[in-house]
Amino acid sequence: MARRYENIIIFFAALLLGITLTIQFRTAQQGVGIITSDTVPQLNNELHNTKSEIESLRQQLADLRGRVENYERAMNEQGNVNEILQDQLETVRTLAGLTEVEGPGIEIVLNDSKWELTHGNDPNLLLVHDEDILTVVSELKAAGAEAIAINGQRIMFNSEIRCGGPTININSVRYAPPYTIAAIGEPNTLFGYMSSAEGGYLDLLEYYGLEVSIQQKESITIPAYVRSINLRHIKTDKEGE
Amino acid sequence: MLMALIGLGLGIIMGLFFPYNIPVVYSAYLSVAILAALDSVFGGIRASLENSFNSNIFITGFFGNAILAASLAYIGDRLGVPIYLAAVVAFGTRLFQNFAVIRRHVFKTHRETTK
Repeated sequence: MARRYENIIIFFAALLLGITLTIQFRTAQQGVGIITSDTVPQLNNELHNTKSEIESLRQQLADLRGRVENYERAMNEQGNVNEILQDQLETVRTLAGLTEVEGPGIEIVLNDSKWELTHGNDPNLLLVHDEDILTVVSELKAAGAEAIAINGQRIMFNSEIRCGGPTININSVRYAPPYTIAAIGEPNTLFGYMSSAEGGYLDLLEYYGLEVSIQQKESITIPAYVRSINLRHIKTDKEGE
Repeated sequence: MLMALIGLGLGIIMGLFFPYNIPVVYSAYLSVAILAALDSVFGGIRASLENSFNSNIFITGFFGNAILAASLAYIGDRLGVPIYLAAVVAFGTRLFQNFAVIRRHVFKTHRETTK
């Protein structure tokens, strides 16, 4: 009798186990993996990034739709899209640096050090080098500068800033110190970025005695790039008519 | 032991028709609890074969181990330490041990009945 009693209990226990097992299988088949607490922040991050991507793509889509609408409207009203294309051309020329631009920003002036050369010191430490200007330009770009000029030369995609002995060549023009670097952008942001506490590049130059001055300006005019550009190797794609 | 297998099979079939689902968040804890329950059933079968079955021990063990294992998994998840591993290792080991004992019993009785 005890045997039967045992068997019945085991029977019901196994029954319960079977039911729970099957339910668990069905739930697990829904494709949700087991997530431990340490993977949660990583997955959260991924989710956040994907959401931002989706948002920016939606934005792009809305912009493109707007553009198409503008074209259609221009076609309807004026019978051509000349005006719109003219505006686009102006925008592109500005972006390319082919136009004179004006706006708020900062002005940085770099000059060689006036310290006395002491015995055993490398004279190079007291001079403004092309790398210094390159780094400053790079930092300005990182800080969000929209247009940059050095001693009146507009910095373009093909502008070199190259050492030429005691002078620095920019856009194939020789310049001697002092070097005035003008940048258009949000003045406070640019100023803060360039003069940021210890470790900033300009701070390092000052440490070596080079003369550095940074000024916020309400209005800076940056001239257009005036040299001619010949594209001899770039092939422009012509879409089929 | 035959009853256990029949019960398991019947339970699986019934489970297929069960209309409710467990919320997916709990599925991890349920997995460990199932392991504990499985080990408990194996332990019960072994005790039955050795004639040392105690229904109190079995029932409290069945539900107690399952609840304890699920609680450990939950605490471990909160603490960020995979404590559920302890339950997995412990119950897994006992499962295989019980299974080995059951197998010996089955072959022993089989030999006795065919002697």
